[in-house]
Amino acid sequence: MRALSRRLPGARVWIHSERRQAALYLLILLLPLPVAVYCIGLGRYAISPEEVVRALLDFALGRHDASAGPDIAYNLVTRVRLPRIAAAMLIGANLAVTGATFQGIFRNPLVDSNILGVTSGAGFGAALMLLLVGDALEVQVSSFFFGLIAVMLAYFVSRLYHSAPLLVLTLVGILIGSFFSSLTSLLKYVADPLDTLPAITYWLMGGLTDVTLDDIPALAAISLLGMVVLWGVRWRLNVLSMGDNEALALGLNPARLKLLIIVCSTLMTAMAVSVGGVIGWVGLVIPHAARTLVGPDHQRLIPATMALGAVFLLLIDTMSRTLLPAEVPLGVFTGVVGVPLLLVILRVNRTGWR
Amino acid sequence: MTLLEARSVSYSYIPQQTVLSNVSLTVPDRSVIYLLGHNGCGKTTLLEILSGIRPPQAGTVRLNGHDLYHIPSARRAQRVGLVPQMHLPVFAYTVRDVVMMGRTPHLRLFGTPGTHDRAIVDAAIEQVGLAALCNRPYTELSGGERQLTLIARGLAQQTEVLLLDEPAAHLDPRNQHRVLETVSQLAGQNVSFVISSHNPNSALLYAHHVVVMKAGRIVADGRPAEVLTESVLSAAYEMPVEVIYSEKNAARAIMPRRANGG
Amino acid sequence: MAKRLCVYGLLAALLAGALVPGAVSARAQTPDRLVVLALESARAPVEAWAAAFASAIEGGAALDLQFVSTAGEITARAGEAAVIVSDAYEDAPPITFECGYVSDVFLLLPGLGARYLASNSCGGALDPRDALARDFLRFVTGPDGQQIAVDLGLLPAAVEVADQSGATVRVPQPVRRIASPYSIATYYVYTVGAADRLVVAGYLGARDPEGQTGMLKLDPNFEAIANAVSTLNQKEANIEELAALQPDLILASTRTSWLDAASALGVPILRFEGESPQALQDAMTLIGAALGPHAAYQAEKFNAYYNSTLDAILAQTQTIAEPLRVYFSGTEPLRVASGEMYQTAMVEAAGGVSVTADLIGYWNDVNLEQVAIWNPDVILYVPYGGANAEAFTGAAEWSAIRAVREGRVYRLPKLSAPWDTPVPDSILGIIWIAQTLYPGQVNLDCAAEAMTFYRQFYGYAMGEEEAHSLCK
Repeated sequence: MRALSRRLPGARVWIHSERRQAALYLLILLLPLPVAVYCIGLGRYAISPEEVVRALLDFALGRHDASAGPDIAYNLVTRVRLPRIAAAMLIGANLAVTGATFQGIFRNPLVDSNILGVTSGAGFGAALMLLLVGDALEVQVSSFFFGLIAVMLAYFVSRLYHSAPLLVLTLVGILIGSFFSSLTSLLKYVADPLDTLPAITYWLMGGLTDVTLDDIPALAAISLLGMVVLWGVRWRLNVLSMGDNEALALGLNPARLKLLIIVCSTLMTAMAVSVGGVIGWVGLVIPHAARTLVGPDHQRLIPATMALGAVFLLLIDTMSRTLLPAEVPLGVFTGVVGVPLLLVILRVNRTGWR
Repeated sequence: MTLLEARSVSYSYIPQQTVLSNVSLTVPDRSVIYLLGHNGCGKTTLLEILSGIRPPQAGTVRLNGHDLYHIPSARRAQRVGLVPQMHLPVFAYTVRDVVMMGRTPHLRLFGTPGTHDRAIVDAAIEQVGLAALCNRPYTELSGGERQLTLIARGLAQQTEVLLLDEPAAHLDPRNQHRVLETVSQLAGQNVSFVISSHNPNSALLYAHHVVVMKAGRIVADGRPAEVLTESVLSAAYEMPVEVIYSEKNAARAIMPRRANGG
Repeated sequence: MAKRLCVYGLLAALLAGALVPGAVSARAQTPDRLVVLALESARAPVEAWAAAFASAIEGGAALDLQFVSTAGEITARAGEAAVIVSDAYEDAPPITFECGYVSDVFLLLPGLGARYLASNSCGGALDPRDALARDFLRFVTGPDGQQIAVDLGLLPAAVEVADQSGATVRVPQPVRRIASPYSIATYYVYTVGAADRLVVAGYLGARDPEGQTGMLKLDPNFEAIANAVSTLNQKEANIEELAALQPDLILASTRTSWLDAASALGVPILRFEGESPQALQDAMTLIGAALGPHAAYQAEKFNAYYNSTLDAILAQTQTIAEPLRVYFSGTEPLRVASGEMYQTAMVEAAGGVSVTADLIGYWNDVNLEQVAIWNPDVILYVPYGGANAEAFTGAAEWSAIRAVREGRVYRLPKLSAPWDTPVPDSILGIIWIAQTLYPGQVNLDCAAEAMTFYRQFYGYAMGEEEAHSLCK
């Protein structure tokens, strides 16, 4: 075993014994829960572990007595920390796994789920509603739908060209994404600089400050449903990533499968963006980190990406809300943490992808 | 018994350029058929049509009498397999991962490979002699090893017919020999092989049956000894060839005839 | 016979003597003759102004100029005049009218002030004669009057001022056409009484319906001024349209980004940065220096008012043992003003303590845990950007914060510009905050101060009801 490792420079990380590989994989899958439990006890306002547990139990069992007066610990644990942790984990897993699946179907390790323009479309939808109306619910709904519209546009436009479907889809996706980004810039230009423009900029920067319990059910439903579907096709992603002809020869229908994955990932990403704004890096960095740790086989990659994505965004959001009195935008940490992480992965990883 | 048959198949990628015209081919069971012809004569297209992934624009393909393109694709993939030319995928799957993909047609809707599939995969890897490399990344193998991996994948697919597209292209003589020798030994089990090649010498060494193509048509079809003559080959490759006989190997070989001897 | 003629002649002379003063005062009552009582030392400018005014008025206006040698005489004879011009202008003459009032001071030249006596007007509409007197003083203190003084050598032809970016700017006098892309500086111009010289301006806070209504009360014509150039704000400007308006002074901020292009116009540009109590006063002094003696006088009055108000509040609040802790939020409940912002200075001037005093920069976003740690006594939020009380009082997670529990969540008032922005109106904001924080202990009445302020500095007679609803 060691002799083999020496012959393959850079392959250290995952040419270990199968047992160690399996242990690492299991560790990754089990990581989210303990991290979540730890993070719910963290916050600028000091709440003892007993109080946290009591608040969670009261919440879960529905036995909180509101008439006894406002209880700051209960409020903070259940209405501030809990929704943020749930949202961070769902969005993190969501963005990470859709990034991984898109890397698979586009056979390109440098894409994330925004390659077809869903994030740009969602950003435009949010900016439009912020300009016109400004109400939180309408902003979310609008961003969700415009995310879908952007991808549908990209998909149908690319069907007009019959050659090199994958390349065309990638290019059209980039174009549609740029188109909606330009429209968003236009909206920023006409927005009132005192009022609407900061709101748009703040929304686009991404953040979970305003997440409430009401946002969680829809987010959870779509994210979990989507993750189940993507998990279900994890084996077929291996085959798809070898090429359309091979997939056909092995009895799959690549066009239909890709459509299913695109629809699923787009719904998930649009939902994530409509709740958390534009959060970059997760869809790009986490799949690579996961590939370095568990290998490119999607049977393990898909679940591992979900777990690592959940943990990554959870840690980032926790830092964002605890380090300083003022909230630090998520984008600061995802870049500051994500970029060095990606550089380290690039150094170590010569085997995750060519 | 005819297993796979193409009848009067035609295909063109661009309306003005016909790649195959009126091609008919028969693949009996348990045979090894070599498909020869110059570059661009339509061998790959024919193999893709035969394998069920590219519907012909004219003519039919029949598997045991049934129209191949009316069989559901998963079932079809359980019976006809295609081994493409070796390539380098983007992600570094292990050899075992790649061979495991051959089991896809046999999996249920959202299923993943089970113990039974793993046993078949291990056997296939053993058959091509790559057992020592089964955990290595596919992207780090040599050309010959990668081709053997793809062949193992085809074997794991457990089809009745396996079509191989130029399995020995880009390989040095040692690896060529290794690959074609392995295939030749695997023939005679319950699998028919159709192998395309641009090197007629392989056919002379390993084929039961040879089909020669030129410009999208079949120009010769028969046993190697009959078909691989100087006149047929010179016409097919549009260059003068000479057939020589090696007593040591008890086999014939083809070499280009040079303008002036020496 | 001769004796009879002498008696009649004496009687006639006596009658005439009795009638003449009556005739004088009677003349003073007729609409087309205005008596202007001025110091002899001011004869030259007053005659020039009167002549210019008369020819500027349609149909001509006869101004009856009377000159005396001492300020005392002016005070004594003030009842006869419609306009008095004196060097002792600080004290109003001791006259009361049955239906009328003595106006505030118009500073004509340094050391020479004037007032008009509206003897025939009560509450609201000015009698035409009184209006003419007022218009005369407005003319004199306006650019035309200033030009006459410049020609006579009584005022400089140009002033050199140091703006708030440290640059020395030469401003030729008088300034007739002001462009104010800095939407805060526009309010400086209104406060010093030079709003009629604006050709284009931005109006902070006047784009939403509430602000628009408010600004229309202050200046019914403001929309024409606001829309005179299609694009004019801190970030960009249509320079050509601006040039077409031929401004002779541009009011910008230190953050305006297109001033390099504008310098090609050759128009003096003043850069303002008035975002603290002291800087606001400096800004007012600056604008006053650039717009003539009366503007400078108004600026001085404003600064005095600002400082005396702050002193009064300080006197009344410094004895409070535990000042209230205030949370100042912006367009979102969790968006707060940093310690460096004007809003925090206002809270502290009003005798409160800002919980966010340690934060730096501009608006900061915090989370609820931090608010719980601060647990403020009072929450103040801004009157723009959709901020509302329900975001605090209707949200379960805020319910445990002391200010919400005790119902002490208040919205800052705004007429046109919000009272929490560094416009002159913000002095009312400070009074309002002090009154809101310490209702028993601060005896300044926001409504009364608002009425005085808007009348004195904007020329807008705010009604009591309106003042009370503003100060709620």
